Amino acid sequence: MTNKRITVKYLARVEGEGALNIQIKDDVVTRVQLKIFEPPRFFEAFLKGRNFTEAPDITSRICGICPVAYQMSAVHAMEAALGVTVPGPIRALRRLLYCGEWIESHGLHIFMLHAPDFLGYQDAIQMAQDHPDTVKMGLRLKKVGNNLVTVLGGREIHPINVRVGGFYKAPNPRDLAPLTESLKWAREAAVKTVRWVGGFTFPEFKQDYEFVALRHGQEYPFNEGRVVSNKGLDIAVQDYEQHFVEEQVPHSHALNSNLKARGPYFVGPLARYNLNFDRLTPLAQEMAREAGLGPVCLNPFQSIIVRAVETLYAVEEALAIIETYEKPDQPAAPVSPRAVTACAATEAPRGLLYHRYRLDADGVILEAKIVPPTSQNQGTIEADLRQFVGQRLDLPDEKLTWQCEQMVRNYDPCISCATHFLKVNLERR
Amino acid sequence: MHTPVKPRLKVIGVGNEWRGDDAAGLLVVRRLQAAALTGVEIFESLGTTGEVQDAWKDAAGVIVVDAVAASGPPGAIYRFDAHGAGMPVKLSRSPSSHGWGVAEALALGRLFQELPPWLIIYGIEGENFDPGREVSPAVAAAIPELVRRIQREIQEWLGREVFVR
Repeated sequence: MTNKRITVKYLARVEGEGALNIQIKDDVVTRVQLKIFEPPRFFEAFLKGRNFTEAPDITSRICGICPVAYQMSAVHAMEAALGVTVPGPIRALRRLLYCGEWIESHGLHIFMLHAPDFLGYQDAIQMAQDHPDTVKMGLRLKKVGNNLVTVLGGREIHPINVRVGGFYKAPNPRDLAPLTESLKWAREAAVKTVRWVGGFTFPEFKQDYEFVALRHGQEYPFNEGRVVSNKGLDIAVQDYEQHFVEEQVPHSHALNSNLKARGPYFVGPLARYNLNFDRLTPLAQEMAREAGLGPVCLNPFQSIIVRAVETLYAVEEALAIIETYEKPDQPAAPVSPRAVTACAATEAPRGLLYHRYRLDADGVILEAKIVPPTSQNQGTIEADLRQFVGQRLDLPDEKLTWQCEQMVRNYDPCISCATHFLKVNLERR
Repeated sequence: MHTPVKPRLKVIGVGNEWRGDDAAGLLVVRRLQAAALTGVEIFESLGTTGEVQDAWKDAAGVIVVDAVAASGPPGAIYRFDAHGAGMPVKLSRSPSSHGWGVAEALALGRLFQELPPWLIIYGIEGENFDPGREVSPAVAAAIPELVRRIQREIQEWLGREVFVR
């Protein structure tokens, strides 16, 4: 009979501060706690009293990796509230901006944060000693994404060109043309990346997850779509709060989000892929198959392959958008405030990001609610660890702890977003 | 036609001006900027790996100025030659665990043999890196001395370069 305590006091290679405590008593996992001790950040509170036009720039500050996602959910919520529909070219530019963010965020997570777990390195610097060309490729790929964000957003981190209704300045097609060369290189690099991560060894692990993501009529989802799941959920974003609830848990500064009917659920690349495989480009589908994935993948460790496939998709989508882009007459659609409540959800690199705002007649924000991807995945991460550790009690502590951290990183958790996470403690008694 | 010659010496100030003493690197290079030194390009950076790598690419000589947390007295000044002995074995990684910083740029530059031929890192010990804080008095007081040392270093480097040519 084993009693153990797995303690990772400070989880590395995740954004923000958190820890993981796992307690095992008489060969039974008695407690799994993902502790998020990144201090609460009160964004929802200090949005109150600000003008509706300020929400995209304020909320973008929640995350340095996915600021575009915050800007996108904010502008879509405001536009839903104020009855604004943006013209085609602005819509296309928003997708292009999102492509840039997915490429830089996925590039960072695949190469710098997650791949070292699979290859047995402490970090990417150590990995670079044996795989210099791959790490160089990863850094360059990430940079292609950052450049896209810079060209459209005015700067690499916390872009400043997004506003409710569109952009402050729309680029000329000739501003975008120079990106084509680097994106063509990135397409090859993304194909190589899918092959590289497809060759990793994955722990055997599958769960009966409820995947939740946006689904759109024609496109792989960025900004629009219905909220759907593989267990029958199919709702308009406006009905989100009828089906999902956020709860406080004592061990975490992040709220824990659950489906009212069925409990924990799964958002992010794996959920998007499983619900939207048919919306990927032919090349992305082909590469996924070559890497050993079917249209549905239930092993969260293989999310690293899915991130590579999504990177490839984002590169191809960016190329397609640039090819057909025409500058809009006006960089933004006109907006005028009114007293109303509205919401929107978009697909951040880490999954569904929901915003709701209540405005007064002058457009002052009276109430704001933000549900980031990591707090939605928190329950599923804990459930995964409970199952995973239970199946591997015979492993030595060091290896088990390593695999637990690897498991947490399957979700690319962004703790700064969610407190708005990582130490692992494994305790066997 | 002449292609403009890139400044061969660059001083890169790294920091976040909204995080207390982390602003020190920026404040130092702003003073150097004001001194309008010829043949020297001043660059301000948030210190992400990619940005630092881009900034020092193609330069013959580079000085990086950044706040450090080395458990010394606030305002203490450190100097490391990236190609010499005496570099700390483990440079502290960037405060944001999701972002890569100067330490990673140095480690990768060494590994890939892409460091500028002459690279000096100046550190200034900070005590408070909290959001929205002012630079603490001990750090502010040490900034003029650090500026003087860097100016002297620049003059020596430029002198050597001229002599070599």
